[in-house]
Amino acid sequence: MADVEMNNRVWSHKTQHFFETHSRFIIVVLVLLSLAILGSVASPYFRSSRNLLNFGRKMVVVLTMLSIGQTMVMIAGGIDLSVGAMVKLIGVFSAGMMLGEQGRLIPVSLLCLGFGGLVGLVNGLIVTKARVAPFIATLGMMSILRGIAFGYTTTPIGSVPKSMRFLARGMVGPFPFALFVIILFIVVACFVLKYTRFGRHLYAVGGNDEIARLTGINVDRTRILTYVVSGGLAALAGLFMVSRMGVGEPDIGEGLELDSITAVILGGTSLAGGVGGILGTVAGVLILGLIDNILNLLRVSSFYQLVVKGIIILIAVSIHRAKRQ
Amino acid sequence: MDLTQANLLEMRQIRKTFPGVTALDRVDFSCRQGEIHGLIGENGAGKSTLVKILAGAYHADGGEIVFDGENRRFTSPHDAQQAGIGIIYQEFTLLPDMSVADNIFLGREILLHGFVNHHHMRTEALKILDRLGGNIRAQQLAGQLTVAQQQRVEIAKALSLDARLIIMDEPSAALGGHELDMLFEIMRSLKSEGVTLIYISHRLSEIFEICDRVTVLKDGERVGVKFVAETDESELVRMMVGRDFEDVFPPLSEQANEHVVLKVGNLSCGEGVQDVTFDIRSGEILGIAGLAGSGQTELVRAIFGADSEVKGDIELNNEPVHISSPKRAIQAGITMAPEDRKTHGLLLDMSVGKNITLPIVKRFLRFLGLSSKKETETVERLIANLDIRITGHDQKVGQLSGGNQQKVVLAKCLGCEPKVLLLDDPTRGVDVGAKFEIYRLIRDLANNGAAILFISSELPEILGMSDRILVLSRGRLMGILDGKQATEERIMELATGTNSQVEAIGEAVHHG
Repeated sequence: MADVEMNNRVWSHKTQHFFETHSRFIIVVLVLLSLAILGSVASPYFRSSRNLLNFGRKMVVVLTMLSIGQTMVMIAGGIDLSVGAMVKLIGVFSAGMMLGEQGRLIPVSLLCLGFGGLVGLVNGLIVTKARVAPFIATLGMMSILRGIAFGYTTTPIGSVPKSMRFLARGMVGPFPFALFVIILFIVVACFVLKYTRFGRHLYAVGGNDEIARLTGINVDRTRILTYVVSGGLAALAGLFMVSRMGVGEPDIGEGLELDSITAVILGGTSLAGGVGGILGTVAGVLILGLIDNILNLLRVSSFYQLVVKGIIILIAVSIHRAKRQ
Repeated sequence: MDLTQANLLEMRQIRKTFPGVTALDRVDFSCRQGEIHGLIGENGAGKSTLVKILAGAYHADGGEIVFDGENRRFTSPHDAQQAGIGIIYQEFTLLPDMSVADNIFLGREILLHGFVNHHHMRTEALKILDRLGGNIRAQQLAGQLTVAQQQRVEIAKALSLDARLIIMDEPSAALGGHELDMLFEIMRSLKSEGVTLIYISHRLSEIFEICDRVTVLKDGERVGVKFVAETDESELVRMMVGRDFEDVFPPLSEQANEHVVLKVGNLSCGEGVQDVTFDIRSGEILGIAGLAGSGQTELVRAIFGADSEVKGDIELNNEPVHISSPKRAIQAGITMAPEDRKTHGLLLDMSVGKNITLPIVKRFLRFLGLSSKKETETVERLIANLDIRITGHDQKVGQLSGGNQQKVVLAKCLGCEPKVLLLDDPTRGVDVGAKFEIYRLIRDLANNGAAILFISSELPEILGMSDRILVLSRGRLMGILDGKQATEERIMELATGTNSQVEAIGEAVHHG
């Protein structure tokens, strides 16, 4: 009898502990579930496999890639506003240079990824060496990249080789190929955060950079590397986008930087840095994606969708603030 | 200690300047293998700068460091760690959201095939923590630990380096008696294992208890090195301050002034202040004593109108006044120098001049904008009166030393030309030399007719400065003593309520 009571107490203590430590995670799961229910109620089409496929292709893959990079940047206490413009620029550049020729696929892709990393490097150097606030530094970069993209073309340009379209449209059995790619990225990113020095140091740098420095961590190098990763992933997301579209479309990528930041914050990563993780961000992406999808099914105009997104980011940040205090 | 031991560390002719200040001027410093070496000096003497150079956190402008027989130049904290130098900073360097084990090995994570091996790190951390005791789990978040436990983790961090030299920058500042004993125990056992320690402290008694030798710094120069067995406190103070410790406090006011400036009747404010009645005369310094948190700060805040829900009567120059806000208090002639100058007293990013005139800026208003000439005159007069040492009155307050910042707070108060001055621990975190000046300034103010309420966390200060001493316990007035006759014991009796008479009063209150 007493044993049972004891067990109960231990159990309830454990559950309480679980709820306390995973409160954010639980909230996120609940939000996801309620959105899914809302979706099903709102439109019978919601649960159809075509819709789900569409949903995955359209938003989730590209946004997850951007948001993984953004998570790393933000854990280290920075922010990267240039990722949306990078997607745009890589989209038009790659299609414009490949011109549908198979032989150019790999060299152009590598060039694009290298360019993304290089831009990230420049962002990182401006932030660490020139001591420009990350918001301003990457805002400037965003403007530059957009300018180049629109200077290059204002109308759809070039095309990608057929084989590349497999990236976004290919199926492996009943599952889209992209799903495996994105799962691989998520796993690798989680691993990097937990099991590499770079990953551990992100939290230290974002938590308190002076402490990180006094502890012997190369703070600048860690910061720069986050922007390089973010830039590289943004370039990859751009390639992904163009493989879906087939042509270089200069209008793509608009607002993606804000979407990725929203996803990261929804996922519980602190704007101040030092706290956060990839799985939360993935949940954030899913929440954003679902909301997008539901609003589309309900035929809400894309302008009002922007309003909804804006409200969501404001609410998410206020909740965050309240929790911190 | 074996005197023939070679020096483990020699720092020669170390120089370091910051913009506008020479922090270290050709300082020599050396430690023998296996000794505990004290490092003392006033605030701003250069102790922290010196050890930060040794730990690679600062770069010296000149001089050389010989560690373990080799000429070294530490360009980063990482370099110094590699050489076997660990440091425990005054402000702890633990990340609250990280586990203890992660904190200990931060920057030096244990890898297995290139990846972080969490399991190994936890077991290694536990091994070190066991050595230190203190019941700390490796998985615990650092933010959940007590201050003493956090300090142990800091020590564990240094030990995990296999440090041969461990620097402790004022580790005792945050510790109580029992915790301090534990720290000393750890230090002794480290010493017996052959680790060399550099120990920085403000408290001389600790130096005598734990150190073998002591180096004294003053104004960025080395004054001397002593074996603690061959010196005493007054010699060390003389070396630190450059003068004798006697005659610290200016004389009390000679004749009693009869004019009552402030009369406080049955003042209550929440739980902190209950039914306090007293008066204070022109030219008088009234000390407020009591155990920490007995309502001293709450009392002056209540008089200043800084808190709501204040009940009771306040009379200023025999006229009742109603003080509902600090603004009204200042208008009535009451100003306060708050306890925490950095958060409540000063705007650190603002210039010295603007800080001083902030409460009286109205006075310089003209038809268009401010009369900067008048403002400058006022600022210059106050800076000269208080002997504030600055490069110019556009210098930012945040760049000043603690003592000078406190003088700016006083200048800000004086600018209001107060009749009553409320000083909440005005010498906290101020070095010895500046303390003496602040004592003198406070007494000058009283001699010029101000009535001063003076709180201090140091009892000798209250005894030395006060004409009368008001003793509080749990927000209640326990008695008012004459400054000339009061003793430390008498004040403690009242403050702790051990006196039988006080107990009787307490009983009466309880039962009544």
